[in-house]
Amino acid sequence: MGLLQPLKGDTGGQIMLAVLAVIAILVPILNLLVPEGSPLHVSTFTVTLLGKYLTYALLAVAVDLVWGYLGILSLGHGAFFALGGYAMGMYLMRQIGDRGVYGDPVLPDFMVFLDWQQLPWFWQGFDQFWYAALMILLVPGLLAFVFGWLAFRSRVTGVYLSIITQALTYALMLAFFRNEMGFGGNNGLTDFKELLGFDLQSDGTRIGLFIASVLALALGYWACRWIVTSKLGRVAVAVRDAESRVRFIGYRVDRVKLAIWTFSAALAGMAGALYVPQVGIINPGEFSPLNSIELVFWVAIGGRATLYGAVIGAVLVNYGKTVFTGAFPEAWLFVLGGLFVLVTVFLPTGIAGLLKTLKRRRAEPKTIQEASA
Amino acid sequence: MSSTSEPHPESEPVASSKQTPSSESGRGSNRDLLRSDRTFDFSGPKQVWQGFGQDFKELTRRDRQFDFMIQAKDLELDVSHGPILYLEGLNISFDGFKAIDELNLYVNAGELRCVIGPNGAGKTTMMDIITGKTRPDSGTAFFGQKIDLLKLSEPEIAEVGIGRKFQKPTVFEQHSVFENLELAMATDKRVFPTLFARLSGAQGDRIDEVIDIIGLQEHARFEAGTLSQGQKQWLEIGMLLIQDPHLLLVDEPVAGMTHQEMERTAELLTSLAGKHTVVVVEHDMDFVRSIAKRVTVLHQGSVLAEGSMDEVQDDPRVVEVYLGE
Ligand SMILES: Nc1ncnc2c1ncn2[C@@H]1O[C@H](COP(=O)(O)OP(=O)(O)OP(=O)(O)O)[C@@H](O)[C@H]1O
Ligand SMILES: [Mg+2]
Repeated sequence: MGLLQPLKGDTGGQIMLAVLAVIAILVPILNLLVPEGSPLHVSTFTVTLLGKYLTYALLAVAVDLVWGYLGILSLGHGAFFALGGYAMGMYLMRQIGDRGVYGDPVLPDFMVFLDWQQLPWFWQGFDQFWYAALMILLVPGLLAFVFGWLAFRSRVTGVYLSIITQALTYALMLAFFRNEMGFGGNNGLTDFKELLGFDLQSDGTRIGLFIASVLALALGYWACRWIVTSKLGRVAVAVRDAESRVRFIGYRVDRVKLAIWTFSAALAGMAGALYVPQVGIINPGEFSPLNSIELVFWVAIGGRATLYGAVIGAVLVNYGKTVFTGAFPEAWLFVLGGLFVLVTVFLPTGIAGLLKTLKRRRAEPKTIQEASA
Repeated sequence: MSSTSEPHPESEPVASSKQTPSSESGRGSNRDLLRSDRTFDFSGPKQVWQGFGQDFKELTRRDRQFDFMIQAKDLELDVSHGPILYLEGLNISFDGFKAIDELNLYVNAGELRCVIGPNGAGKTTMMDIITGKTRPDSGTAFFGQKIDLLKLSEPEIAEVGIGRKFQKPTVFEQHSVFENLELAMATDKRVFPTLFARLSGAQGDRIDEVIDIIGLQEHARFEAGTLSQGQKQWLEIGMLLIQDPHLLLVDEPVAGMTHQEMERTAELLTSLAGKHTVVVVEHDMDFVRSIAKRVTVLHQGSVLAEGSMDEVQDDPRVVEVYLGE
């Protein structure tokens, strides 16, 4: 048993976690201790960018858990990410206090602007961090639970399920665009000042958020590994490969799906909550159906059902996106689409699959030598 | 509600009631397995987990404990009157086509029954009804005297002791032979117990034992996807066996098998009868002749003839629809 048990045999994951540990130590040093002029200096901008990639990576891990191991192609995980982000955003809004443009001690600016007299009930409690932290997991988790309960019970699967997950995120996007909803309409929530009393603009806070993202990713990864290496994980893969067979040997497939699906949504919510203070804004665009589709690409490109592949995919694709959208912004979607087609045709197991094959190729001659020796 | 029910015997959890050591060893203990006073207890002490995904209302009801006792009582397998399976007046039609038409079938406990019939006779559909995959339009299906199969879901039916091998073998291709059996094993199959499950020594031994029975020792660690068709069939039978069901429904077990493999399968199935009740659907007449004591011929969704292989073969109606072709 032990804490390392879930990582046994997971070479890719071990390397990934080791790299995470290294950058968690190196990046703060290079940012805070190395002077700005030095070529080794890592700018705060880069730190935040890396932190953002890591939250995407956590989101991708959450998607891979349900897609890779349970066979549910969710095209709506962006919604859980955004909900976690909104929960964090609400806390950050309340932290602004009377430092807003209108100086209202309680009401966020957009509410004053809309001429609201008091805080809506669902904004209550968000001035407390513990409450917000709870909501970050609870709101996406609860939505996923209700959605999954309805969908899995009535045995909606495959493409139909994917479509309704798209519909879910689309519906939420439309709802959050409305001013009356009380989430800042199309401007969303922004102009954050502090998190737990720390100035969001300061280098120290940025580093803190970066390290929190590293920890969240490592923890989320470990938890997902723990699930997929458990017997429940083996049941999940069995559900993916032959769902009705699993039912006939006595498992309640709907509940297996519901449990893992809900967990995955809460994980996505956690990723969203770490994303928001780093990018400084959350708006309904995060619910865009396209976002959810894009993140499935990350997983596909990185390699489905490996978990660490999702991390690789998310980081690489988003790095590519940063580089590309700087140079030719219009071309990005075509590049991504092209990349996706190339990967599905030539690398159906993604980058992780490629790495595995390379490793095997390298290992094979060795074992032959050993055998003949 | 009733005051006759005894307080729930928590000391006898699921696994022990289904897999008592005595029922596993030796032919002599068949009756033990089929004892009418045996209850299938799936309430257990850990009711909280059972409530996962259930109605909140049900969770919070104060008479919940009592509610479960009724359920457990209902699910007692009672074969005191002989048959273990009663199908009466079953009907089902698909878009106006009557796949099952006033079907009556009784199978005795411990029997090995073969069901034959031309393509489309409704054999697989009959198994679908027994296992809860398809609901009939009318009729009744009882397991023992007391368990109404039409009221149970597929996993519940598996839980009361009906296992099924499908016509098309479906094993979990990405899992090893060992893991396939591990998943199928009769254990607590609720979500959280499964999440925290660790394979005990006894369970590992039981899996190895079944691997021996189905003759896949050398393939135990191989992915099931790499097995031959015949080996997959055996693995499926193994997955049935390890659930320790009372009733095994086996749909076309020898499809894709070599002659030798067929003989081994025949041996395997006959050795299971007695301790278990086995219903085999098969097209291969030689195979049926080699194992069958009692044969039921299905035609157009109802029973055309029933009896020993010889009796059935001599029946002119059977010759006409089936054997004569
Ligand atoms: N879900 C369904 N929807 C529509 N028709 C069905 C369905 N299930 C079975 N049928 C029809 O019912 C009839 C009986 O099918 P069934 O599979 O039970 O036959 P069978 O006796 O098992 O035949 P075989 O020997 O070919 O396996 C067939 O004509 C089949 O097409
Ligand atoms: Mg059939």
